[in-house]
Amino acid sequence: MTRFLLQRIGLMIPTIFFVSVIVFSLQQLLPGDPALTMAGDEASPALIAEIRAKYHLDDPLLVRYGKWVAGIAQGDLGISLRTQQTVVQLLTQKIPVTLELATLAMIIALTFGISMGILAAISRGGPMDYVARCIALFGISMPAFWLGILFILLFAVKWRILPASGYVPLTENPLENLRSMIMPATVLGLAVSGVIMRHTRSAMLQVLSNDYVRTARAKGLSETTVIFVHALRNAALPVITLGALEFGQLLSGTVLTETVFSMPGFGKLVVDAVFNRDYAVVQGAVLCTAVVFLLLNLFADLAYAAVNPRLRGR
Amino acid sequence: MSPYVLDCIHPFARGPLPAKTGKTLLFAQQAGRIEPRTASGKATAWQSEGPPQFLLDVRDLRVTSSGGYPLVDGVSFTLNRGETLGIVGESGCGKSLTSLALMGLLPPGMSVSGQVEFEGADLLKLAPATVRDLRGDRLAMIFQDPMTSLNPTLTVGYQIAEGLIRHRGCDRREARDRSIELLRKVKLPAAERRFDEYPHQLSGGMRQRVMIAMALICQPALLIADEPTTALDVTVQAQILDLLAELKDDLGSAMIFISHDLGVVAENVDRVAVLYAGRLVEEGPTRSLFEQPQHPYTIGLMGSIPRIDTTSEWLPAIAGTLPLASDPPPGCRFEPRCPFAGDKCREESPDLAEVSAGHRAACWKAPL
Repeated sequence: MTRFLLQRIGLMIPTIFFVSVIVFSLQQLLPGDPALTMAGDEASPALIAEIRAKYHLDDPLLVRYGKWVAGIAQGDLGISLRTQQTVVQLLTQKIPVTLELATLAMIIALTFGISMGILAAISRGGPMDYVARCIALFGISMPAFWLGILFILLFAVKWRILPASGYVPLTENPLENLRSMIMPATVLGLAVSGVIMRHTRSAMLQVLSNDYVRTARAKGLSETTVIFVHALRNAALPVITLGALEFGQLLSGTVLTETVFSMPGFGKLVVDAVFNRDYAVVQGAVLCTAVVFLLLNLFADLAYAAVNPRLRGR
Repeated sequence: MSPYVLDCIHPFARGPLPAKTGKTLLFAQQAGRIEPRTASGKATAWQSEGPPQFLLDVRDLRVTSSGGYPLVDGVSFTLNRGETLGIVGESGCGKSLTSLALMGLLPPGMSVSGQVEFEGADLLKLAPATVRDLRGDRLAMIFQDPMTSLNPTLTVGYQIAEGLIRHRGCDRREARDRSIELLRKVKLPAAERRFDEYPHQLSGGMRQRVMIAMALICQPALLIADEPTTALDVTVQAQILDLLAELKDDLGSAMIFISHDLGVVAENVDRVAVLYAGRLVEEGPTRSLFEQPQHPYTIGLMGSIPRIDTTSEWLPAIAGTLPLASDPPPGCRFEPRCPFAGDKCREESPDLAEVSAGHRAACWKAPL
């Protein structure tokens, strides 16, 4: 098991290296000049040259890449060209918001998705199956921002039971924090739960037709034991992989929802940075996303091994 | 060893395909050493005196597919305590469906009718919860393929102990001790260590031993073994068959032994029932049935076993194929393939009729 873990972590290093190269070079290919953006429309050539020199924008590509990587090694991702804050500072501000949002959304998605998937599978072809599949289809096809707007209209404008937008840090007021989080988390979670429900249903149906489920029934076990002890463990395997991928998506792709609910999150940070040619922030954020994806994959592998004994001890 | 055993084991104790000769010869030698149980002269139930008190009394069992076709069509048989009944027939004849119907484990969509009286209660009329209480406790089943019949994500020990926890209310400690004890009895090497291992860490033969332990953990009165050795290596087959017979005698359980291998059946069971296209065509004491088969299908089955003592270039086979359940012939089900068929066979389906003591056959031409 330790070997497995070390092996996986060892494999992450070259992956991160390649990601850093790709992020850095793609960034150079983007049209637009950060110095021009910073200096404004009517800037003198002298000012532009000064900015270029200050931020080492005139250095050769390899030198700039080297400086960037050396900085990362020291925990320094550079300075935002726009706000003059360090990138690390910006990320540590924004990431907790998105992390909390994504985690809540994931809890909602897994709870709904897995329980509906099981219900649909055991009542295959019945009314419960039909209802669950309709809800899943609704969750998948409804755009999150649109559902978000409808939620705001209903809960914040009409009934006035939840705040329409904004964010209260967890450390400041946990209850208000939850009140501001619940709508965006539900909107995001519903979309993911549809995907999870479908995968749970099909995995469960496949597992329920296996011989060992018949063996379990032959022992006189109750249907609940058969489903939760014998079938769910096996059906969980594809759902774990999917869950990790979806969680990664949530961490990097919540920008629309964050915009609708005015959440100061990671997605908004990245989009703003791209529009402003804020190189350092984009690079730092993308690298950070890549690392998070890799870590999630590692966790998924560990969870896999915990559920699937065939992977252990290899 | 009686001459009967010598006579029947050699021709029958081999696989059905000539291609297997190398392996099957080895098994034939092994099988020769197995204590003959059929011919041991042990009093079988149909010989015992007094009013018959059957453990299992199946009457007119019918299994119908979701499309309404009869898959098992009016099968009746009885089983006494401690007795072993062999059910033989080719693939698709309804052997497995019959056993699944007894267990109440038919696939969804199939319907079942008739009467399955087990220890005095009709299993088909009991509430599902009551049947669940009996399943795994009073009646248990061993499945064909030990590779797919064990849950890959649970330890084998848990899967055995589960039955005790479910039916006997044992705590985990006690269930573990008793399961390990039984694992030793089924001759699983290093039972204590194996208890905590997963199915993928065990060989096919070991897994089938685990399946046997799983079925026997609550000491059932009836054990159904559905082709328990088909998926195993021939050398392991004999060991598993030996073990099954030994444990079943120890516990005093009755057994229904399902197989398409007449050789295996000949040496392991007290009585044989032959199924053809969902119907029981012949049933009787092993010796009588093998010495004087009365139904042309049984005769055909025996004829299509390769023999070592005759030199023949070709293997006799029964011409034709099983009739479709959706379109059965109007008379005897076997009539289209039967070399003896006459006009009556084409028009009317024969019922089982006694041809000698305890030996019944469903054929207009019987006794031959």
